[in-house]
Amino acid sequence: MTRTRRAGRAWVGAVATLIVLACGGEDPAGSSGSILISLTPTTLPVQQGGSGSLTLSLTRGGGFGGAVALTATGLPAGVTTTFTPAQMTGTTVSSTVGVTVGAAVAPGIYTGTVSATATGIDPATTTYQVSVTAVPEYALTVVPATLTISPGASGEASVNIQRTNFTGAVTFALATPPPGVTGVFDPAQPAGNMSTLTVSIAANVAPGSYPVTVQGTATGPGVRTATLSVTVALPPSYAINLSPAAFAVQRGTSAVVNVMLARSNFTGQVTLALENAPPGITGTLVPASTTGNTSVFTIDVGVGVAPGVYQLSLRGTASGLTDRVAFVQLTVTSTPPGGGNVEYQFCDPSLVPVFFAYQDGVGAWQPVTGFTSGATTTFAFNLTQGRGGVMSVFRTTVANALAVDPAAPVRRLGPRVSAVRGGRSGVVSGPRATPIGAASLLTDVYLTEVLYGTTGELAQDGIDYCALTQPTKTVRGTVAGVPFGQYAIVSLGSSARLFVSGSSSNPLTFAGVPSGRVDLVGSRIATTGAAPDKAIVLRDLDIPDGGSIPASIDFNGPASRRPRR
Amino acid sequence: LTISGVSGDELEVFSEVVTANSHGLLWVDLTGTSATTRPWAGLAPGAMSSGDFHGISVLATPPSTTDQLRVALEFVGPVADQTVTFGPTLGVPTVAQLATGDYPRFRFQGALPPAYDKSASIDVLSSADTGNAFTILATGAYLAASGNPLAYDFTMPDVSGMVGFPLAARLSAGTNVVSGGAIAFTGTGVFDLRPSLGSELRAATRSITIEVP
Repeated sequence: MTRTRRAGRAWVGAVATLIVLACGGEDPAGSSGSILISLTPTTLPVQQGGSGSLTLSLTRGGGFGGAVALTATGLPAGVTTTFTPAQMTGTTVSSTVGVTVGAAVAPGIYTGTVSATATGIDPATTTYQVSVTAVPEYALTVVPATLTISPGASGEASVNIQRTNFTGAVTFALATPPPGVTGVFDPAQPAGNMSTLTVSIAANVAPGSYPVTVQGTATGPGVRTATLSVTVALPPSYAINLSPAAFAVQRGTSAVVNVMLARSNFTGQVTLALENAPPGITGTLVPASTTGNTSVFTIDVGVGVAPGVYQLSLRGTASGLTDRVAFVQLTVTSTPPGGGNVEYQFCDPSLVPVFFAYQDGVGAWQPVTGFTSGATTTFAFNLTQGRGGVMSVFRTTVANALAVDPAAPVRRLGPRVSAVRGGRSGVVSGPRATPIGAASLLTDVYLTEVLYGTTGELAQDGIDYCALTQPTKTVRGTVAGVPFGQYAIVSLGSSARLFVSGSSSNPLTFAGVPSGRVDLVGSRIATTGAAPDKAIVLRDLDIPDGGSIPASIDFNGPASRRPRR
Repeated sequence: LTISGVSGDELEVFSEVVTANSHGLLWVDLTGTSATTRPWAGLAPGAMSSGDFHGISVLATPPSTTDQLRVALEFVGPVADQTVTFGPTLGVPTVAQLATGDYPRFRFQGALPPAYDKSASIDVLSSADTGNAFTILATGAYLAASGNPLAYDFTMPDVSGMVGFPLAARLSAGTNVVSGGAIAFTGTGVFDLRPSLGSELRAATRSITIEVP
């Protein structure tokens, strides 16, 4: 409410209207004129960046008819006021007051003053209020901003809504999430200020960092986003690997097992311990606790331990992880006839080394004299250092070169690679690796083999050697069903032969076939480089040395089938 | 068969059949191309007995070289799409002559990529087919117990003065090929590896020649 200085009268306006009285003064004609202005409404709500208008009403009194000019003051920077018209003449009794609020004007209630002035009379003023309100808005935040989730698992985060002059619903979704990443919001369309996001990672998602965009959509403010960083990481884990995991050891001796920790996203300390060991068997681990990846597990077997197979448990404990248990299969053997804890047995007289020596730890090499019982020759010695070496020198004569040629696989594939293909005494033959023919051997040749291993590994090798050098036989087989220009690969036991129709001799001779029952597999290839069109399997063939396979190896016969390719 | 880790090597594929009493070569793809997606063949399921499985061997050699070879071997069940990934290549073994005379001896050293944890070996072969062969193999456990599982350092033992040792077993005079090798294998066996369904082998060799007096 405003009071003129001259009249000193107060007008109490109605709720929606302020009335300002201006009176006194003389008009040019000598009469006492006055003006009075009022605004409707007196409070104008305007959003930031918006505008609105009021209506100014002019009441002339005392016969005053002059021009009235309108001005506005009092509002903060960013708020502008306009009058249309800005000067009221003649019979004009109203003006539109436009109010424009800049986007940067802070929300609040501001009071402005409109002044009406005219020549010869007192001015009139009135006030109005502009209520600046914020634009409806919301923002999103994700807490926590980073989630670490394992493949195949899920994690949760809270999506919070910061509302400003906005109460509507927000609909949530993930905007084009990376493959294998999915999200579920609960609730998906919250009217409140929070939703729980469950992020699931498919099992095949590779470890790495994946930005995930949380998208909110609301009527009015529109789309708003927030970013959640999802780190896909393998769960902390480790495995205990033992090498060797199974071996033989002489009672009264010890053996060394290498413990390797295969860690995954885990660098903590692992404590290792032998548990529930049978009486007489003890183990030490150096180190027993480690943040590294290796430990040496020494197993001591007392002289009173009964020969047999024992399973030892090695338990690993680590803070925050479940225990891991690895097993060692320990075959405790009695004292061999030779008096040592390692003995190499050679069951094929034609494959007995002409010289044998061993090394205990890193000590001096010592020759070993074998002793023969029946067809078996044994070289026995004692290792006290937990590891050592053996040297075997084999002589291959012209007479047995065709039967067994230990050096042959070496020449193309390397002996260790070929071993897994055909066994130590096997001969890998065929297009890739052809054994040396007897005709090329003018003198005896020697193969010297030096093996280094732990006591257990060498003891096991000595046991295995006999089985690997069982007598072999030579068998013939007639190939049929391979037209001229085609070829076949035929294997009997571990003896493989290439048959080229028109140039290979028929029947084929399979040398070095393990004695006893063996299976035959073969394939027919119509075009060089192409996959076979026929495969044949003949099982449990028990052919004597020098004998022949009773039926032909017929690729058109009833045993022939189409291979899978 | 999808093959990776070979970077342009020429590839040869062998398929084998492992039965209860045999281990037979069935087919060889000797095309020698560097194609890393290629067929492999084996027995039809109806021809397989319980316990049978296949072995797929892939040999990789860099083009126009003979001193490097890598092998990847997978033991799998019935024929189906398979993926084979090769292990790393090996460095050239370092060779130093230690002795001449009646029994020339050498020292062989080299680094082992951690992937090859089963064994390391050195093979010395006369370039002549009639020559002698010398091989040294150490298990991963032995190397670890010796203090360094990531390297081999082999010295030919001096046994020439021992009673009964045949000096004729010496390295053959002339050019010899020295091959350093390393193996990783997930199955059982150390010196003699035993195939089993699901096991994998990775191996690599690297060769140089030496002159033996």
